[in-house]
Amino acid sequence: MHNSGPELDSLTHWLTECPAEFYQYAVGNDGKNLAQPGIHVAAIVGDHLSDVGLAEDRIRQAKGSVSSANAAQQQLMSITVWLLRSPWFMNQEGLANTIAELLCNGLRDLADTIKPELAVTDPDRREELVRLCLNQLGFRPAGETVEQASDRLTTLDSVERTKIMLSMRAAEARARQIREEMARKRAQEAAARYSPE
Amino acid sequence: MADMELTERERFPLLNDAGRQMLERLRQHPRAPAFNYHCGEKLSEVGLRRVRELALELKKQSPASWTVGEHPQWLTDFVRGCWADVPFYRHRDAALREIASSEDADMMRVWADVPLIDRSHLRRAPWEFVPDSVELDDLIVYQTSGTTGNFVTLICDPVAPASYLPLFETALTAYGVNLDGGQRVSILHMAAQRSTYTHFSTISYLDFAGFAKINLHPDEWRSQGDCAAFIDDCDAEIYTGDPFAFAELAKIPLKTRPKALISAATTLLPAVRDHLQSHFGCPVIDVISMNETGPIAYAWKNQHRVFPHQIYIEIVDPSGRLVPPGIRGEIVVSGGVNRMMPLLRYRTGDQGALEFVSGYPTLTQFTGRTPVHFRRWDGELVRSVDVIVALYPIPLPLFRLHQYTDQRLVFQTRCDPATERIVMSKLHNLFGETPLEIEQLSDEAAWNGKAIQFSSDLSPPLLIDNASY
Repeated sequence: MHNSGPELDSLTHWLTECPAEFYQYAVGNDGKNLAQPGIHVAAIVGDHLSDVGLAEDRIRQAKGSVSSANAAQQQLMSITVWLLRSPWFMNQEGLANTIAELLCNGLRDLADTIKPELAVTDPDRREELVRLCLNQLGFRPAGETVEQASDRLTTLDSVERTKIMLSMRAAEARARQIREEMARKRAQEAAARYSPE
Repeated sequence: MADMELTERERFPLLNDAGRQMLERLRQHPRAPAFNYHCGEKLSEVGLRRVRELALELKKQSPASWTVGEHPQWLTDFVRGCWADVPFYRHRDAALREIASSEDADMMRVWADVPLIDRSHLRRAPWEFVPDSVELDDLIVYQTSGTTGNFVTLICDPVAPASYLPLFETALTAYGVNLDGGQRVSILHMAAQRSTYTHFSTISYLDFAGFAKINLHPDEWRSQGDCAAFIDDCDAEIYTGDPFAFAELAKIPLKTRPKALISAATTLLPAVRDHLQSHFGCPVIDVISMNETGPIAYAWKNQHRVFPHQIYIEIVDPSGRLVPPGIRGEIVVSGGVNRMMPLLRYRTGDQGALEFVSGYPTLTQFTGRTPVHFRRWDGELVRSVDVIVALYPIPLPLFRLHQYTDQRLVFQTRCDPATERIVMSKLHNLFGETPLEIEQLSDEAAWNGKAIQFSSDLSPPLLIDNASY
């Protein structure tokens, strides 16, 4: 996030133009089509990594990793490849390893939290994916300070928000459980106390 | 109190033959009162082990492990536990977070920023104080009103009330008294109220010795003479109760004598203590204790020595700032015996000063409850603690002082005419020409149980400086 990057709007706009084939027809773990014939995600990831200059052996590893991902993760990887094909990213050099890491490992939590197609169709999720990618590659949107970029990414962070929501639900369930137990025990004898208070 | 009865096994999970015999003895005692409530100790094997561990720890720790300007070593871990495990504290502020998240957090620097809490926090959502990691099966609920009618629901487990026993032993040991337990009644809790719950139990920690809470009120007993006969037959090792109950007890002709009296709940004036000590021929030990925290301190040489368990005491001024040793203020407690509602910087509403005497954290100038300021005829203020000090030499087990809006003072008590004259003289010295009446409380009023000792209808003074607090 320490390097100033492109205009945010240019990348979010680029994402809106992501063809539906990239996220509607991903291929499952077993190599079979999930719904209808579509893009082979491991193949397009491999092609992109090759285009950005990643070594052959690393590309093979990356493709293996992509193939082992679940359907939602592959869908988001596919959308992200589209994003990374934007002119600004394609003009950056020396990012091959970081891009491989992003595609193989950096998207899984988000993919497990949101519907991947929202990264194209929903403005907030679009912005989140763009910011997430920029951040993981060491950039922030043009015109923003590190603090501003970090704050905005935190605000949009679906994974964190989901964690908080789950934790709040767990806390509410625990509080309800205690209140129920209190009500039950209120109707029961307590334990002997040995002096007045 | 609830009315859903438990089975004997639920009441006494550890009950053995000795305990069963003790329960039978108390249940079938021909002179026993008509006990009106069932209540056991509910203590499991694990719970009993915890109580025994506390007892061992208490024997090792004398004096306590902290002194002026220090925090006890356990406090950092306690704070971290609260932060990690207790919903209420997890939602609190940055100071707690700093202590909890940093290995070498400077407790001395950060501690004063940890926000104080009070009864209102407990009342709002008591369940928020229950740690995530504790099982709820053992949960017990107590409703407490204190003397203010300010109801709070307290959540604890059976270890909390049982932990009083080793703490009482600590106080008793200081006076050369040991609890033997075994096949005898060890503790009689004396009440003197028109109406209160009475019950009996057996104490696994004391090898299934007996315990009974009895009410001295004559209506509680089947025949005249039963009360004395039952108490004598129990021949308990110690009595617990409040000063009024003990004063009533002293009127009953008993053949037996306990090893000690433990007094709690209301102010034990030195003259009352001396009278009781002389009458019963044993030490009378005042214990400062609260439902929320458990026992805090026990009387030692006209002061109160803080119990050496995991309890940390601070004194704050009305704005919540720490005051130096020796200066009176509100007592703030962290820790205590209740692991189901761990307390961090809990304002007790009780007043006193903290000093370190022979290495022991010690409460001095103690008075329960928020201080009340009475106004003299000349506009001067008289603090409730001044009234207590003036009454030190008078054996009054029960008294209340109220000031009405017209400045009239009414002092209520129960005493003989000679004592009343002494009280009048002491209060006149204190209040000068302020209108003052003494009312002898009726039997019924005296037996109504714990009541507010000091109250005033006048507005509290707008400015209270530390010196007058």
